[in-house]
Amino acid sequence: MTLLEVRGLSVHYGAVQAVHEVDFTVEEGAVVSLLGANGAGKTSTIKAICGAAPYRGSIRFRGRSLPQNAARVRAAGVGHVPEGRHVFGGLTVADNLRLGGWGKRRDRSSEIYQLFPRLAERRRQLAGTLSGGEQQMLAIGRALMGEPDLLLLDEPTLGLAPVLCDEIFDRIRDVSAMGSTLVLVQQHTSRALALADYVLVMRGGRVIARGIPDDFADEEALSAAYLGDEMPHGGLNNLEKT
Amino acid sequence: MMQYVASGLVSGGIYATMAIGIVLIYRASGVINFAHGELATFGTFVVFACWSAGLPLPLALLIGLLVGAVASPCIEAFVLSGLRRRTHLTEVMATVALFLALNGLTLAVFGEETHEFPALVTGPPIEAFGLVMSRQSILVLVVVAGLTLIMAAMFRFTRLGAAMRAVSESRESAELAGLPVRRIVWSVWAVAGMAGVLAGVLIAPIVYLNVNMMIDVLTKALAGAVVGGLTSVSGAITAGLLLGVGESLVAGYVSTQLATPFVFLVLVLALVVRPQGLFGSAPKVKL
Repeated sequence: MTLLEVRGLSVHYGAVQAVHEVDFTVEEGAVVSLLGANGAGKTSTIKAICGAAPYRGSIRFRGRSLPQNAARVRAAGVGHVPEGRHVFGGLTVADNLRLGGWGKRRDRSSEIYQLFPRLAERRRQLAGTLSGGEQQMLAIGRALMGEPDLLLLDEPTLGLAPVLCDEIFDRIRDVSAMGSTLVLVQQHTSRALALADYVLVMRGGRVIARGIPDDFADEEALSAAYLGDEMPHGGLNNLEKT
Repeated sequence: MMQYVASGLVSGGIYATMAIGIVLIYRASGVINFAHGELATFGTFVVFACWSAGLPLPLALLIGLLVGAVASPCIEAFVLSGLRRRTHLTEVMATVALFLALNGLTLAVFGEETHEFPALVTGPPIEAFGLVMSRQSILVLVVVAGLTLIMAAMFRFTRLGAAMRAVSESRESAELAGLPVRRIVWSVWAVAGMAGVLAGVLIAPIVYLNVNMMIDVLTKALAGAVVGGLTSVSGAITAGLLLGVGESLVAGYVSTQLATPFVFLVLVLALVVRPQGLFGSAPKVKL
């Protein structure tokens, strides 16, 4: 069943167009990785879906048009882990999680603490005093508190040490295993490919390639897509290009 | 001396109650609301009008608080949010204009007469520990203490309080987290509006109700808010009380004419020596 349907999505920042007529769908329970270099339009796409950036085009969630308002999108069942974490440094871990559950009757914090035991140990600590990895766990936990049907993760390992990246990806895998539908934005490809059911590659605000992870096994082809080189023989040539 | 301190705590308590509203609004919207005092005056006149029409004082007070709770967020929703070029200058100009407009509106609706406002508690003054205090003055102290506890509990224990702190820390992060930021900001303005009307109702029996009643209070509350750190509710309460006590001591031991200048000299001194205020933190500079 299609959970999210994006059609003709364009995002402008003043005179600058960051996303050009992007189309894609996300099936329920799937993990979709959105890959691309810096400035490819991935974050703008995610921000448009979660109601944090104005857009043109159509974004439908469970068959219904999503409002261009972050709070209403969240209430509709779309969670967002923003790039840069954006945890509230002056609030405790527990308060950050509590805000994630805004509007929800059920308190999921014990489940979140089970998923991220380190947060449980630091529940009374100010979020600003946590390490980068812990803050990322908190950002994911806060989004999960809203019981989302679809979770958008924007660069969840940006700026983290490799060992922490592994830990974050293990937890994302756990979340996926619980049946959550994920859209994962990443610059670094190997971990994202390992987790994804479907992959979209963006460049210059457009989706330039898409397919299953095996289609991107050829690193040369993936690099070409990232950098805008001519497609090598085979590789991505069999993929749909937009 | 203790008598001066006690009466200073009463006036300082009213400055603190007003300063709470100023700080809450500044934290939520980054605006110093110069119309805060006039809104309080209007709400206090509404209480007086309801009471004069025969309603019991508690019910009249409730109506006045509701007026503050509704009118205050309207300033954010319909005036500040509507500014096409929202800069600090346009915000200040808008709230100063509202200050004058509300003053004129109150004058037009309720007239320029000075009224004796009913005290919320009546009875002979209370004598204890060598001090003589009116019941209304004691009520002011009780209300300030209660308001301090309620604010602390709200910010610490409630989800709305946590959301208010989150919005004040980073509006962008709050929006990205999917919090209903506008509703939260309006809630802050509503709480501030109620605190303002409460301050008006507390001071009106002491200074008599008139259109310009809150101008002096607002300027001193602003001084308290700035000396306290502008972003700190506890700082605003502490500074408001200290300014009230200082003003009373200067009036008692030096000169009543120097009492008001003392408050604003402290403000200037604070801006020169410790611009972040008593409880504010210095801005961090990235090198």
